[in-house]
Amino acid sequence: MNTMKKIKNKLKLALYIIPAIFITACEEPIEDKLDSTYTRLVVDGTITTDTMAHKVLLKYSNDALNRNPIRFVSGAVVTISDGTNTFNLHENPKVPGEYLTDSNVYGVAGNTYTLNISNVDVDDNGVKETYTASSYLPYMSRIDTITVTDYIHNDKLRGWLINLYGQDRGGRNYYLTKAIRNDTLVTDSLKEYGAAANSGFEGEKYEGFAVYFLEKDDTTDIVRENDRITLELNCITKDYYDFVIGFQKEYFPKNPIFSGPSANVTTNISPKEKAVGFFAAYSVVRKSTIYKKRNKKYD
Amino acid sequence: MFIYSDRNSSRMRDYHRLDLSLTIKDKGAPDRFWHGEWVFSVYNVYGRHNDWMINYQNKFEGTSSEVKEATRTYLPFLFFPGITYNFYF
Repeated sequence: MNTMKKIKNKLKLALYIIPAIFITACEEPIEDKLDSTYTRLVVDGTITTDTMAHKVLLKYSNDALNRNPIRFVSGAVVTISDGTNTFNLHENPKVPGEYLTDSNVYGVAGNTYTLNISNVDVDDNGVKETYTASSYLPYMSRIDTITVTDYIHNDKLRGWLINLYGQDRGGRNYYLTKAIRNDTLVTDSLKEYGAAANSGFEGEKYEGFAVYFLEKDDTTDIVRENDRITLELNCITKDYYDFVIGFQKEYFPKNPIFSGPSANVTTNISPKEKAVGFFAAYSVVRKSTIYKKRNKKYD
Repeated sequence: MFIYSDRNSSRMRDYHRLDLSLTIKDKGAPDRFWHGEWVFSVYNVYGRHNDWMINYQNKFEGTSSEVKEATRTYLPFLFFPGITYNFYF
C-alpha cells in the first residue's frame, strides 16, 4: 500500500514537472543588430499660460540599441507665433539643443500657436529644412482646491491620492496632472504624467475626485507629514492627449497576448516623415495643500 | 522610444531545424479489418536554439542612462523524441 502511494506521488510530481519544462522557455540577452533607418528631428516643445522662458528641445534620433550619446541640434532658428506676435527663441549657451523664449512670454487660452524650426539639416544632405507644428491653447476649467488622503488598497498597493475640487468647463476636455512635493516635481517625465479625458464629468463639479496617485513603494513619491503637495493641472488638446497616451503605451512593457502590436507615436510636427515628438500649447493651474495624516481614504 | 519600420519590413534570424522519423508498418493478419504503424521521430535533431521571440526592454545602467536590451527566448530542450502509433480502418 505504501509503495503504491509512493508511485502515485511520483506520478503526480511528474505531472507537474513535465508540463512545467515544456511551457518554460529559456531566455538570454543577445547582441541584436537592428536595421538602421534615416535620422529624424526629435522635438519636445511647449508654450503654456505661465509667464516664463518657454522651452523647445531639439535632438537627432539615434539608432535603436545604440549606446552612443544623444546628439542635440545646435544653430537652428526657432520661433513661436500666435498669428500676431512672433517670439524668437535663443539657444541656451549652457545646454546645446535647448531653445528658450524671453522670460516674459506667456500663452493665451484661445490662441493657436505655431512653432517654426529652420536652418537645420537633419538628413545631412546639404539642404536646410524647415519644420512646423501648430497647437491650440485650450481654456482651463475652474479648480478650487485639492486634498491629499492616504490610500490603502492592500499591503502592496498603498500611497496617497491627490483629490480635486472644482468645476469642469463643459464639453470634451483633456487634462494632464503633475505632482510637486515641496519644491520637487515628482512627475518629471512624460512617462509619469497622468492623462485623462473628462468623460462623464462634462460640465460637472469635481468633488474630491482622485486625479493622481503617489505610490508608497516609489521612493520619489513618499509623502511625509507637513509636506507641501502641489497639483499642476494642464488643459491640453486631444492631439497632445493622444501623444502622451501613445507614448506611455509604447514606453511601458506590454503583455504580448493582450496588447496590440507596437506602433509609432503620433506627432504634430510637419513633415511627419522627417520628425518625431510634439509641440504642445496648454493652460496651467496649480493648487497646493499641506499634508496631514488624519485624512484617510480606503478602497 | 522606438521608431518602427513598416510591418513585415524586417526579419528575425533564420529558423531551421531537422526532424527525422522512422515508420514501421504493422504487418498484422491479412484478414484484420484495421492495420497500424509505429512512428519513431526526433524533432530538431541537431538541437538548434531557434528564436521563439525577441523582446526589447528598457534596462537602466548607472543612475540615469537607459538603454534597450534585446532578449531572445527559445524552447529549453535541444531535441525532442516522439513515439506514435497510428491505426487505420
